[in-house]
Amino acid sequence: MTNIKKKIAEVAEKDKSKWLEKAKYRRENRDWLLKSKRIALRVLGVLKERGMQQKELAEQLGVSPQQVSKIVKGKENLTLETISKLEAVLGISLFELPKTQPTKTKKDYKNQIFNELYDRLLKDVLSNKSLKSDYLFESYNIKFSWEDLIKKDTFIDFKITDSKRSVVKDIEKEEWREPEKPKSNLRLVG
Amino acid sequence: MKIVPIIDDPEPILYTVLYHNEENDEFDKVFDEWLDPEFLKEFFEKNSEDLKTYNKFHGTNYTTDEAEEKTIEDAFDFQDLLYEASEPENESALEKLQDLFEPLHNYENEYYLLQKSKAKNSWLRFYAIRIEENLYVITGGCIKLTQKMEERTHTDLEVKKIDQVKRYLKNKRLINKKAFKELELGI
Repeated sequence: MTNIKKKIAEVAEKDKSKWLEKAKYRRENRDWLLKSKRIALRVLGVLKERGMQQKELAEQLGVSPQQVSKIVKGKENLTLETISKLEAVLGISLFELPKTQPTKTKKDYKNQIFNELYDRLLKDVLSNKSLKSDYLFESYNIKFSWEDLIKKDTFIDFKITDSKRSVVKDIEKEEWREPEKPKSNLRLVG
Repeated sequence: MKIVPIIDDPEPILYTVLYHNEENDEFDKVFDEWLDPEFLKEFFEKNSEDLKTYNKFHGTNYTTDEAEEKTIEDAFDFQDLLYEASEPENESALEKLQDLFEPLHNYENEYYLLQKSKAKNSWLRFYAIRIEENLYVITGGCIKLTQKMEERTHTDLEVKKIDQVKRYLKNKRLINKKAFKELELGI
């Protein structure tokens, strides 16, 4: 240690800055503290907009002014009850949960694969082989999704001509990449 | 004025000051302000024109609401950086600290004794006196939106605090003999 470091250590206070302990706490609780501070900023903004005092908010919430003071400091680990009360009293939304997305089933997956494949082939046939869509639908008749196929347990007939055979072969090839797909649902009629 | 250690393990590298009649030291106080929603609301409302100037200069588009949230997030990041430097097991602490501070004046490109220094993260500033390599005393900090410190009362106050601490350190002879002679001779 250099002389100057020894000297400053002698002159300085023995107790460290309170910052270290506070920083440790803030690091450990960072996620909810950030949310609490964002809520505090929002609440303060609404109070300012409406010219409303913190005391009035406390009365409407049915809590002490000290409690509101803590809320607007963004140091409170707010309960869902308190957040809901704040939302109701101020008529604002403080946080929203994203709506649950339904989990994809195997059927959904097959449906998706089929539709993607269908779209790709349709595009390919229309652009490369100069076939009209009406004709394609009429002759290929593959408008059903896998879901429909499975539900109805129906067969689809592909009435193909030689010029379209290669496209149908592509469908066949893709079909084999998806093992769950019931093979019986497709039958080629040449 | 009292000198308060922030990081002194395994050896002293970072100090701050506790001014007379103040309850909290400068380092602690500045972080409390940056993380205080009420302080930030008031600050950015009062300095909304400076925020517009800042946006124009930096090509940003922060509203006062966004600026308040940004300050809190930046303060958390700044805190983490300093906290990691304070961990005794962190061997690169000294290196980190040295990298964090730079001369206060942008035109200075070399280090010298009792140099006025700063550490910055976006518009957050800490001001310090560099006593020697890897030894700094933090004198205060603020949110700096304007180009020159003298332009606003709160930044100008920081200039005065740096000068005050520099004088204090000099009076306490918290510099080595050679440096003290150099300072006396105005070298």
